[in-house]
Amino acid sequence: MNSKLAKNLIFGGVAVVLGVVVVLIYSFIFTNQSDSKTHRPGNIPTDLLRTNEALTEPFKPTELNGFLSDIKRLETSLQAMGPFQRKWNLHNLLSAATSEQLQDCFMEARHMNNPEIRHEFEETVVRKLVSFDPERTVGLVSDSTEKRVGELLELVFTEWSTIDFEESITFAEQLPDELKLYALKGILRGREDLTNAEQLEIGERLDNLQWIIDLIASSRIDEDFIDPPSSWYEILDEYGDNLRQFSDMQLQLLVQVAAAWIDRFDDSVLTEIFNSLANDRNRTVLFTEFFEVLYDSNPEQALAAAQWLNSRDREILVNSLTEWTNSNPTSALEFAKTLEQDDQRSRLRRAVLEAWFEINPSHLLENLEIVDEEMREWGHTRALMNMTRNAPELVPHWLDTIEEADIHEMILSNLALNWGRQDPVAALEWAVSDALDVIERTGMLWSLLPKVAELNPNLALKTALEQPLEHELDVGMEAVVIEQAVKLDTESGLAMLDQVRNSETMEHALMGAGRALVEKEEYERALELFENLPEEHQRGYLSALGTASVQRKEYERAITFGIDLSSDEQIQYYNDIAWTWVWIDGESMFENLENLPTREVQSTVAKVLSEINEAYNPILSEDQLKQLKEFIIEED
Amino acid sequence: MTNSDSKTSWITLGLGLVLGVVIGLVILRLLPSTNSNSDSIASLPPQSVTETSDNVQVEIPAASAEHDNKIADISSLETLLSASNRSEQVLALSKSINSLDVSKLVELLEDSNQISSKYLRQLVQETLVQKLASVHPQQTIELIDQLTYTPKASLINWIFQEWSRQNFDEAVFATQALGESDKTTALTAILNSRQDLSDAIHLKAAKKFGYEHLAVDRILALVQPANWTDPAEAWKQITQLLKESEVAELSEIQQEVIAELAVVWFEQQGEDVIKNISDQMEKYPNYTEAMSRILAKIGRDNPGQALQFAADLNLHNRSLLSTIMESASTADPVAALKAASTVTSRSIRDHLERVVISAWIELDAEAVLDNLLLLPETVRTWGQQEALVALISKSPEFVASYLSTVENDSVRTTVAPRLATAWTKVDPLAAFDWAKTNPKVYVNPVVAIDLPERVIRRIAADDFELAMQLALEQPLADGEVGLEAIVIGEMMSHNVEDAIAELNQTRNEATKMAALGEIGREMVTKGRSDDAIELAKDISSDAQIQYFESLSNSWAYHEPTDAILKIDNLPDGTIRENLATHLASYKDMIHSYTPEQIEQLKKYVHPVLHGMLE
Repeated sequence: MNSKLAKNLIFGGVAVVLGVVVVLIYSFIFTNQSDSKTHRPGNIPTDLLRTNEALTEPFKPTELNGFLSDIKRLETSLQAMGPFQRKWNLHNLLSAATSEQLQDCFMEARHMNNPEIRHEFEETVVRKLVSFDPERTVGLVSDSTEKRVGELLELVFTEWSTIDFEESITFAEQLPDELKLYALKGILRGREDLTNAEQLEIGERLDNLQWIIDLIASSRIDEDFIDPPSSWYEILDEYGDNLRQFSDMQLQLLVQVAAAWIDRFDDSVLTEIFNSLANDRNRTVLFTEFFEVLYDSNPEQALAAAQWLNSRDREILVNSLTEWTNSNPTSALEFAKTLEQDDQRSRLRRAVLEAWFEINPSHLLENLEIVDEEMREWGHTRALMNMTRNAPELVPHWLDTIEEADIHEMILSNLALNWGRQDPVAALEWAVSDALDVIERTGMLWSLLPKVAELNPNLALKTALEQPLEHELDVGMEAVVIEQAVKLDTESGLAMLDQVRNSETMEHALMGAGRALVEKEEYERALELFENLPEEHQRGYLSALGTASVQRKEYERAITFGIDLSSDEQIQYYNDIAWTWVWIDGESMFENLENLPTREVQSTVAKVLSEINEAYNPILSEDQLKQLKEFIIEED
Repeated sequence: MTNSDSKTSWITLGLGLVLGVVIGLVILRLLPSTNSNSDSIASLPPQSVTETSDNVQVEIPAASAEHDNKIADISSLETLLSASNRSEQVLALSKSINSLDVSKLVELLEDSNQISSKYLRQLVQETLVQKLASVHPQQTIELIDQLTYTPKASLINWIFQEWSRQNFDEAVFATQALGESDKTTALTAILNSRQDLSDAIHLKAAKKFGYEHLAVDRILALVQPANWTDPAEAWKQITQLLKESEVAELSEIQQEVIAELAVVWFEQQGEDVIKNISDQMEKYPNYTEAMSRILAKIGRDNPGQALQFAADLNLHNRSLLSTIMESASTADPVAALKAASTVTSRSIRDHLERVVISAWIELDAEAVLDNLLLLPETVRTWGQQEALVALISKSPEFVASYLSTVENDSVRTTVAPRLATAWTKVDPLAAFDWAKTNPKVYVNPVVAIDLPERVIRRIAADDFELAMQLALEQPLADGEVGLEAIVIGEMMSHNVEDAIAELNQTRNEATKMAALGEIGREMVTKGRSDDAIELAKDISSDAQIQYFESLSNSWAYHEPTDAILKIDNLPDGTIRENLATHLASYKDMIHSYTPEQIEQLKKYVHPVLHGMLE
């Protein structure tokens, strides 16, 4: 009995399994056959014919208060949903919300951490709130600290304009200027049925007429212009005759009409187009846009127009290419080359290159291979020169491309000057790297170190002491550092004199220190230093004090500095300062001759004045010249 | 086996089979259908399907019982949406399409371009794509190219949000096939959508595309500076994140977060933190830019301290220092000026003072004029003239009146010509009256700018009839050149022939010759030198010399090849010499000449100047 039961159970079990298997196999086969017979539109991927799993609405309007008391819970729930589900749920959740609840939602939204979720929530709330009280919604949005005030305001007015069009505009007129455009965009989005005239009127009322003009122009650009001349004159009538005030969109529309006109007839219409524009400025604007737009889409037409312009008015062609260079220099140059390929003149290419190295020298240098060989060196040098002024930190990258030694030297000295002025420490870091040879580095550093010393005298001194002495004069760079250091801080600057490497350098360093002290009007300290100097340095130092005083137009002081010197020393001293004085203010030098301490000194200085007056700078009248001669002791 | 046993067994087998078929059918019923043509989705039992993604369980709610809004075609959908507000539209649309079969969704999406209202079209496309993406993101992406108006970036965003919820790895993998800009959009969507995943997973995914900065940006964008109770710890986390991400340079978002943190930290713990932050950021190529942002924030209220930090860190870059000063100027320009005055480098100090004054002028130019004595002496004149220039467009009358009280020639020379030009645009008659009472400003004792000339030229550019009328109304002494010469010259840019015809309006010979010179100069500039030569053929020899002198420089500069070609045929030796000298002066500076051209020029250039041609 047991074995029978077991056997039957096994039979039954097998049958059940078999039944299930049969159904499943049948189902599988049937399904596949069914699929293969399904007719689908050709562009629908096969795999897409999959069953949609409909979603329910998990949030009920009644749940809103609960979420409001725990906005993070709402955020977490929304975060777990896809965009479709999220949107539906949000709208459903808010479907029965009151105005107060919606305002609370808006205020609570700021506590949401995920910006995307927060934005979507806010947008849904704002849209809904408008239907209750649009004015309050504007207030709520405008007062919020949200960075998206504009976007939200646009939504408000989109909704509002569908509810009450006139009221929305009237209210928008009262908005601050910076918000009006958002309102305008929203209104137009909500009311697509408005005519161009109505749009223009609203644009004017909301102080954004140009935006509407552009909107309308952009919608016309793809028109098939059946009667281009009519369109042309209609546009000029509508937009006025100053193309420089046209927006890009207006110009693009005008160019499309011109292109259609030329297409429909031939180049002869160019004369009419040219004459229809009031002046060369308008013509330049039009042809610039024309070349820019058509160079890619219809290069033959662009070239034909340029050739016509070349014979009619090269100045306009040149100016158009220059303008075009600002936006696309490589195309402008290619175009100029094509135009000048059978022409000895190079005005067009030159104009492009001149504009190019002004606006973006790096870009020109990167594209130098497309510049004609005969203009390449010129373009290269001018680009680098421009770069030394405007972006000196980029110049080192290009130095190796300079082949001519004199140009290399010129660029380096300009680099030192300009980079030193703009960022001396960065320039110094580069100069002491391995980028330069010894001579180049020395040249750079003489120019740079005073600038570095203005910011960081210790760094400048350390760097100076690491450099070799100047090979002809045997002077170290610490001399120029010390002058700046004294200007910044007298005592610490003078303390640096201890580190000077040799007597020649000391001479120059002292002269620099002296000039700095005079500039700072620390005369007593200057003279105190003089008293303590070894004799060998006294003359140069005192001359520096005198010359600096002359440069400051403190002539009386300059004279006083030499009063106590010995006769010979006096002659040397006054002779030294005379060569500066005569160029700065020969007139005052003449007037001060009699204040000089001795006849010999007066004669020495008068000779300098006479020589310069005669050979280079005639400043004295006949009468003065006669007087001057009286000071001069003629030698036997 | 007995018969009865056998019978029982067959019955058992039969019942078993029937039971098996029933169970099989039940199983089939319970399994999600794979029948592509099935319209019976509505009959699927309500359920909560749990799809397993690699990292997260995404709950998709069970099917709705509300699917009675059957949409026959796109026009019925449009009708459904036409009379409601946005919230109601979204609800109606969501409910209506929620239960539609995929093929129907695709059909509607394909037809959505027919919806005339762009606003509604976008809503419909947006919702359909979101819905389709929730079912089959991979295929949805193949459908979106044909859609119009709805921005593609939004569509990609929704698709990848859904995709990443369903299968993060697959979504990341699919991103690889997209173009660069779509790739960024998709990856951003994936990262946004899967905030439940760890930062490490985000970073790993982004690194596959070399977009690690996106992941870092995403993570940092969620940071709320207000919550920084322990900035040191926050900094540690940020540096750790940057290290792990291996970003090559600091993005805008990263710099901003670091800057905000730096300020909070600095306010809590003082200056050491700036050095700490600087040290750790120095390895990035845009280190200076990042420091600039930090110091600008500090400099807003503490300009002196910000400059000191820059000096301590050896950051003397002008752009960085300028940014600090600009920031400081918005809060307190006077304090900013005071801070700038402490900079030891004269040239940098001067530059920064100008930056502050410029910013102040932008804020309130009149305040700058009222507080001139607060400006450093070295830049006071400059500040005064810049403030006046800034006020020209707002109130030219005020500037004109102010200028009459200014004794400094430099200010007058800079401002007056610009006032003349700008004022003429808005009120030509007032500008001309003013110019007549202030006829000249001197660039130096010798060179002067004639303001009435400048104004009349500007008027002629817009309205030469008015310009000519004004010019002819002005008194003219014997031998003087009347303003009509300027008007005629300006007319050349309108119509060459008209300008030539206007020559008979000139009131004396001197004016006529000046006008002729203007015309000739414009002619050669326009590439019409033959016309320019023709124009002078009937005038006296002396007049010809004067005429060609006035156009030689333009000719040599703009059209040297043409000038050299025609120089032999010019009517007088003096004319040829003048032109050749101009041409020689441009050698190498502007033009290069062939040996033949140089020889030709040497024929006319005075031997003393032959060196210019070597």
